[in-house]
Amino acid sequence: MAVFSDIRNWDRVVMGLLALLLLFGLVVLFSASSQKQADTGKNFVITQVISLIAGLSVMLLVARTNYHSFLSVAYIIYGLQVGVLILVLAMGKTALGAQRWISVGGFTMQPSEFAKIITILALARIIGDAPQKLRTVSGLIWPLLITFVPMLLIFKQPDLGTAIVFLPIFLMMLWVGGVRLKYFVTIIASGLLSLPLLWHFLKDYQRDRLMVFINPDLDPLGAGYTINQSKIAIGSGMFIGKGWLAGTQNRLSFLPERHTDFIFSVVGEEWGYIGTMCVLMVFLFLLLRGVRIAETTHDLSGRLVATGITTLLALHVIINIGMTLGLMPVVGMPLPFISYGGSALLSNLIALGFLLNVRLHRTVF
Amino acid sequence: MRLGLLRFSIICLFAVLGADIFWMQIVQGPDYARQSENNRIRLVPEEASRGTIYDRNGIPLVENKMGFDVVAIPQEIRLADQDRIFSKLGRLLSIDSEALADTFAYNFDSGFSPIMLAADVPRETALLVEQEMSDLPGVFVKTKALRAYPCAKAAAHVIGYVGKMRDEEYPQLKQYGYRMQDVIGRSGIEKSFDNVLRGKPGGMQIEVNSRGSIIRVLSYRPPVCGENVYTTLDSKLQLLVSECLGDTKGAVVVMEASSGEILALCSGPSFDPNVIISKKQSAAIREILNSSDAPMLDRAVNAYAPGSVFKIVTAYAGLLEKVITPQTAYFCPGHFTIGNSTRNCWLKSGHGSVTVVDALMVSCNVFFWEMGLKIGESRIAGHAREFGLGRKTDIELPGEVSGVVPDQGWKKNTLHQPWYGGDTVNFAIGQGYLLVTPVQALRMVAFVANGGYEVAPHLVKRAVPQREKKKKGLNPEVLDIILSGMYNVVNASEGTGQRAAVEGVRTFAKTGTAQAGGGSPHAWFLGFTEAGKRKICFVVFLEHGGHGGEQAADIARRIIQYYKGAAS
Repeated sequence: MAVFSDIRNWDRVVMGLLALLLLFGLVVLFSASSQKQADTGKNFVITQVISLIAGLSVMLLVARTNYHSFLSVAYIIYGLQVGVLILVLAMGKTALGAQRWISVGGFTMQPSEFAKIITILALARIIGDAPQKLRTVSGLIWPLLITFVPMLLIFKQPDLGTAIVFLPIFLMMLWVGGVRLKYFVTIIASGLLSLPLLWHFLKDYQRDRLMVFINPDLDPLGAGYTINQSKIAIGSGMFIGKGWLAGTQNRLSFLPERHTDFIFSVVGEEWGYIGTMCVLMVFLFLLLRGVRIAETTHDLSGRLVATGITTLLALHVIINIGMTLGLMPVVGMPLPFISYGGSALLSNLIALGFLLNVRLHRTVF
Repeated sequence: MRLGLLRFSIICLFAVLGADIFWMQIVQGPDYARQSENNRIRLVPEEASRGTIYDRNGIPLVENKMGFDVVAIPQEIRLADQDRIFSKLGRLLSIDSEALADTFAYNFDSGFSPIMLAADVPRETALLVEQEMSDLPGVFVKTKALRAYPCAKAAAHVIGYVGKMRDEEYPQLKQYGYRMQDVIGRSGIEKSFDNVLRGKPGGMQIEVNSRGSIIRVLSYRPPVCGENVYTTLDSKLQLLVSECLGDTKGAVVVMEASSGEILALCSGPSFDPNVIISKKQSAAIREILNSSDAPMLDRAVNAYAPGSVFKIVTAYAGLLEKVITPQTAYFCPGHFTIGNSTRNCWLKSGHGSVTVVDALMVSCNVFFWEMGLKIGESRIAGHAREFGLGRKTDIELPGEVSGVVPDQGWKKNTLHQPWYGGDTVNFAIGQGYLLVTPVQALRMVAFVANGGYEVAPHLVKRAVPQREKKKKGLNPEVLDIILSGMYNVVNASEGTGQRAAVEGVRTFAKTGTAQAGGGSPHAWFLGFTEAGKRKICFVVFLEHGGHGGEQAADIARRIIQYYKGAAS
């Protein structure tokens, strides 16, 4: 098949590490969902494999089309994306007005997932086209706007977890794009200083959630309970783990959302320190490979795409694992390539597709 | 290379994660392993009590009472104990012990999900079980707040009822802070004010021993009670109206003209919300749900052909557009010919020569047919919309429909047919495609009673008395002419609504008898009466209820008498 004709040129390190994560992910999912499957009769592994096949096909398509083609239409896609985000917000508003609890549910999540990738493309385009502009203050305005418009729209949804991811991506791409050190430091400093201001814009329940992170006892029935049970699960796995399908925290349904956001807790309980370290290492190698791809790409916009995507995936991994360890607030972010759920899997595979893309087409220059 | 920063950050953050995992799994691992072996942390949710709904005089229209369920937690029932526990529990609950064991086995989900063994047990039985708890490991009595509706059938549609959230509703409600299995409002005010009435649930995280008794409370959050809702309803009038309506199909709504406060709202036949929310009366519930009379339907916000009550609008249109003057008279020979079809006025002998005031009084169709053709459908439709028809009133009840004000464009879009003269003729007397809800009809009357100003019918007291809709309003001089016609309907010897007359009270009304498919016509009787300084609007609608001047007018008279008594 033509699609696979150039498979030999694909980055074998990335493909190999991805395969490891995906296969291990299905093995863990089988265990994590077995109780729920017995209850509901729904086969989570089969559903996940179907999403996986679809996701991998999209990834292949994304990886094969030269990323410059994507960059040339980046502003158009970006404009459409902003339109969709506004639409979601407006729809949510009117629905709330007419009857307080009409759903926009499910639909709200997906645009924001893809917004992250599209914003990376738009940023790579604008910085890559004229990197010398970053040397001036006025040249920073457009990149800033490109980041903040979707970020604020997602923040209004309100999806704090997704919105906050935009900031590190923006900073890292700016840095790699060649912003002056003193501007870079100024932006970070002013960001940190305006954090207390942000507090005022948070909704009550978002504040509650952050307060629960500081003091889990505030929400003994919700996030506090989940964090407690997750820590017991991971800790009790000790060095070699309780064994596949043998985790009591998992099997006895102590852990809520264990097949989605808290799947890392199941890894910790059943595979122990060996398992958690292996997963951590595979992710680390994958991300460092991403950094390497960025480094070896001489085309600036390509390097920026690789930088943005690597930062994005790193944030997903770090926030999710940090959450299961109780180091981060519970924000509802799945573990890439391992957690159950089609839409997150698809967007993470597309992101990886762009990384492969940059590697595949690096010989252009 | 600047990418060093990214590599450095990733490695650092991964190192933090790795170190924390090492700390948890290796250093503290044995501790956590012990905790996991004796994982006896339980969540004990505590429901928040739901707010009360009051009438305008502070009389509660719903009550909260305590209910008791007997549940079992499988993890704490040892297999060897099962027979003994179920036979003992069976005696206490007077349920066959084998049936209990079956329920237990059939509903087993996971070790820690409580299984409902007996729902809604009486208080005395609950106390008995509570006393024997030490001998029944794994069995608990769960208390819960139950809703009781003292008005029963009398206010079922306006108050509504509550029910457990269904699983498929959860994903949509999750984002508004609802939890799985929450009790939510299912209809009426219970539904539309659910976010006010419901509190915030609390609960405890507790540690228990192997027998399921509490060792210590790890943390606690008290529940927050829901807020009360103060309605504009007058429960005495509500009961009276409900009694008048009985099991007749129809709706009666009473409203204060100046404020739009609904004083009573009934839809018949009604149902008892106490039955709907009970778990035991499934046969009675099925009877309600399957009844061909559709008792769950709130007819007050459903749309029907209005018949002659719409002549108020046609008369207004004719006078305002100067198609007629108050002195213009048409001759009614008892029949009317348009094209090649002839229709009869309801009085076959004819009304003779009538002016608009007479035509309203005797409800002469020929007058309105003749005038309607001259006004034309688009102008009638325009004025109908001015009276608020075809537009929801936004009363705080779920399921309100907006009705239909037809015109050429509407017919073309919906039925893909041209508009005929016959349609205009039907339209002029409130027949044909026109559909109006009783609450809309009530708002229409309020326009007349208020000298042209619109009010929004509402059920819940508002902090600021409304007058916000003080836009230009309808023409008061024209409305005065219509008023004299409506006065004569009740008070003149030829009026169609004389049965509503009450000595010593000024009442203005209009009858309607709307041809409806399948049986007798719909009966309408609407208007307003003066009670001291207040003007009280009412609408009586009886589905297939015959002539508007008969049974419907009788119900209106009872309402007028109520206010005569209240005013003096």
